Amino acid sequence: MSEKNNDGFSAFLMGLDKARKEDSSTAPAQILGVLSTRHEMRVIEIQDEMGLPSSELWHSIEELKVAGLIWLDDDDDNATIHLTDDGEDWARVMCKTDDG
Amino acid sequence: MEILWYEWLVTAGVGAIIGIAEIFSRYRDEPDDALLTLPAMGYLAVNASASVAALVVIRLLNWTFGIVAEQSIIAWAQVFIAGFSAMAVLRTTIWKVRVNDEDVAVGPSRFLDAVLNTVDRAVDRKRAAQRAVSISNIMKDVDFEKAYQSLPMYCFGLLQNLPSDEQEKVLKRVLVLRSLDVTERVKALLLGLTLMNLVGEQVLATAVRDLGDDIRRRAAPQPHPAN
Repeated sequence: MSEKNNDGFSAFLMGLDKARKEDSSTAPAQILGVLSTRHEMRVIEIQDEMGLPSSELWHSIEELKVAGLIWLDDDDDNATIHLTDDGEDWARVMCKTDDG
Repeated sequence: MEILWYEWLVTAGVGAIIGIAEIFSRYRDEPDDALLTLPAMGYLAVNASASVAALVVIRLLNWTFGIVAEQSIIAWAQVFIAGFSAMAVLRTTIWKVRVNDEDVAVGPSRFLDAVLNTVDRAVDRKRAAQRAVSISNIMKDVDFEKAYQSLPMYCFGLLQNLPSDEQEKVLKRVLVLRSLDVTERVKALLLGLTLMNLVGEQVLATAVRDLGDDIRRRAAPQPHPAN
């Protein structure tokens, strides 16, 4: 069991280290920022609004999916991105605190 | 057909107890919170009513289930069979239809699922309010920049069997949080929310307390009275 945890620790630490060294993309955070006020958007709308290259956009969407913050109802550009329950919780905190 | 007052009561009680057991198994972390919501009470009432209705049917049709014994023993058997069998009937799916690539159950169980979904939403709303207060208190003085590495790791350590995919999820969320365009306070709250969903309120509070000044914001220097 401890091995399982140590593996997890090292994966967590290595992931953070890698992100620090590589200056990771801010696109996932930007997408989440937009979704926090609109709650759902089509992939193509986000692409138009943020002007991201398709590969970076889909990579960011995948990151947010793994984080459990969004889900997609399809797997192409016509798909709509929705916030998960946890994503909605985040949006509430972000908007509530913005309101003061 | 005669049903004595205590037979009504016991039959309804059996139905309600089965409903309570279901609510408790569904919300294991804080079952009393779930039970004290209006939809949960409604769910218990549905279960109790179904049991009573089953007893009425059994008595009307004079079903003895092949029991050859004194009348009082048959009566009690009818009471308990009514209490339990109503639950079986309520949880029945008669057939399934395919809608949008999903199997949708048709039958009494669909009604029960709808009531349970209402309980889910009521419990979520109640917990959301409680969690907001808890998170705000626990993460009050936590500095996100100091905490985003050590706090998740300490929480992982306190829970021995946390699956690696959950840790991966926390990592991804931390990475999003680092570049999110919000205040440090909001980042700390969202980090707390992520960890509380994973490890629970008590473990998170313990972790924040144990890490103490290592993850706390420095207090602003007090102005000198002479100035």
